[in-house]
Amino acid sequence: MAGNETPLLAVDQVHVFYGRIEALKGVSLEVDRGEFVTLIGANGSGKSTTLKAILGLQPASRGSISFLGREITRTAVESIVTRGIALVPEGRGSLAGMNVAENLELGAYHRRDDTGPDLEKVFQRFPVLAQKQHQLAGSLSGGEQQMLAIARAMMAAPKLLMMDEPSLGLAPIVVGNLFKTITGLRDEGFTILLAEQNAAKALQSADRGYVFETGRIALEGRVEDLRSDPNVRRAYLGGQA
Amino acid sequence: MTGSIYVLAAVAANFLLVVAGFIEFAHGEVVVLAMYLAWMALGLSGGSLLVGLPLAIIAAIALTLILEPLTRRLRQNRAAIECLILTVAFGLILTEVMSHFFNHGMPVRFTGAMRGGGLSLNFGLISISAANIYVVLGCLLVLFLFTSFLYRTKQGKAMRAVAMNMETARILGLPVARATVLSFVITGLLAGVTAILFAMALGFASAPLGGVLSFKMLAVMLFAGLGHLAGAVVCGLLLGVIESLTTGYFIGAWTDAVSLGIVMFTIMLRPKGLFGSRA
Repeated sequence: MAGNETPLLAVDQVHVFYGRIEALKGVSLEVDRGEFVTLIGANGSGKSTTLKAILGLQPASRGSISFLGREITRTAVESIVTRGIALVPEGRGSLAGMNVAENLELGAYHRRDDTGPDLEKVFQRFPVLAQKQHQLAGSLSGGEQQMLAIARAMMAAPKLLMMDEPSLGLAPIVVGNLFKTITGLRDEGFTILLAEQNAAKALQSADRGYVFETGRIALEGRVEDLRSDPNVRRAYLGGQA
Repeated sequence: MTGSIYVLAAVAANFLLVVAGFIEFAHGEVVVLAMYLAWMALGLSGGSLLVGLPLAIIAAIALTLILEPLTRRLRQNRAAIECLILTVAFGLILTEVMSHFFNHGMPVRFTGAMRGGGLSLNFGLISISAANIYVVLGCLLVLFLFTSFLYRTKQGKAMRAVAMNMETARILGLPVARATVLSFVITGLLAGVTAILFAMALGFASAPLGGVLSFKMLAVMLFAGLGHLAGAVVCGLLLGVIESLTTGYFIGAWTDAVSLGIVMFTIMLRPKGLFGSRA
């Protein structure tokens, strides 16, 4: 938990505008090394925008973001990726016209070291990708493309792995496997920041969570506490208080 | 074979289209102006290929690279039609330059080493000039090197990724801006090589030739499908063959009408081109 150590990622009062519309209205959050933090909330509440602001895809007009103790608020995406943040985008973002192996290769574009061992690890964790190495990414199923997107992000050997709505469009069984994979990654030591609409699954797997509502953080805390919060249950867990 | 020239021009323009997002309609004029500049260098250096050839390539790269900052704002706003119009205007300017500043506006001729030394192979009644052989071999070599670059090198794969899905490319931290500028350089390089091979194949250059090449290049691109690189190879050769047959069996003046007419019908029947559009 946050204590004497500087957090891996600190987002401080960030505002993001899409033209005139204020998508993030002063969002602050923290992620510590080794934590699995989830952002939950309705569609359009600002979860994806937060991830994009961290990566530098959407500029923050106010506030600051720091990673590994250094300010990255107005840094270029390329530089942020090099510093160790990887994003598994919403909709997988597969390079459809390239095969699985090439997609994975490009995930490691910035690395100068030997990526062979990491590729082996990825193939061990996702045997399907090993089998379909030379197949075009566009021909994989939704679940397989999601695995590819995660594997591709892992190839960057990131210090922070961010995922944007990975369960979107996947069948329930596949979602189950997906979350097993994600918790497996956390157990391996990856620091994970996950934006998810599937609040139930997210709150079962993560350590801590932030609840987004119309561009603001309405609630935060350890997932056990969020799970038993009556408002959260009513709004996101379909339950009675 | 002028088919090879159409192939190189269309492949280069298709490449720039998929990476940078617009049709470089002045590509033909860039090629021909590079030919003119090579002619000038050859004249000044006494026919030295060591001076003429590199100059053609450097000139073509420079002329194409100028378009990067000129089109940058338009490309950022996805203004493809405006980019096309800009390149049309650029092409017209280049044609004017060629009409007024070189050889008093007369066509220029290439001789000697630039035309394969006038040698030829003879098989009975068939005579193939060394120039034509060099052109075909040169074309094959360029295509091989280009394909190797795109499919075997890290930078080439990054460029394909940028062409395929710019958003994902950015998320992966690929150097999108650098890759885009490099694509202009490569297109210019291809134009320079095309200029050399064109000089060898044709033996002369004239101011209107640029516009003609651009027009045929676009016809090949539409014929194959915008952005389809492999398709451009097939269709460029096809157009070359169709033109040769037409010249052989019809009156020469009808060549363009017949060949472009065939392209027109193909587009009418298959608007996305024979191979489908990739842009």
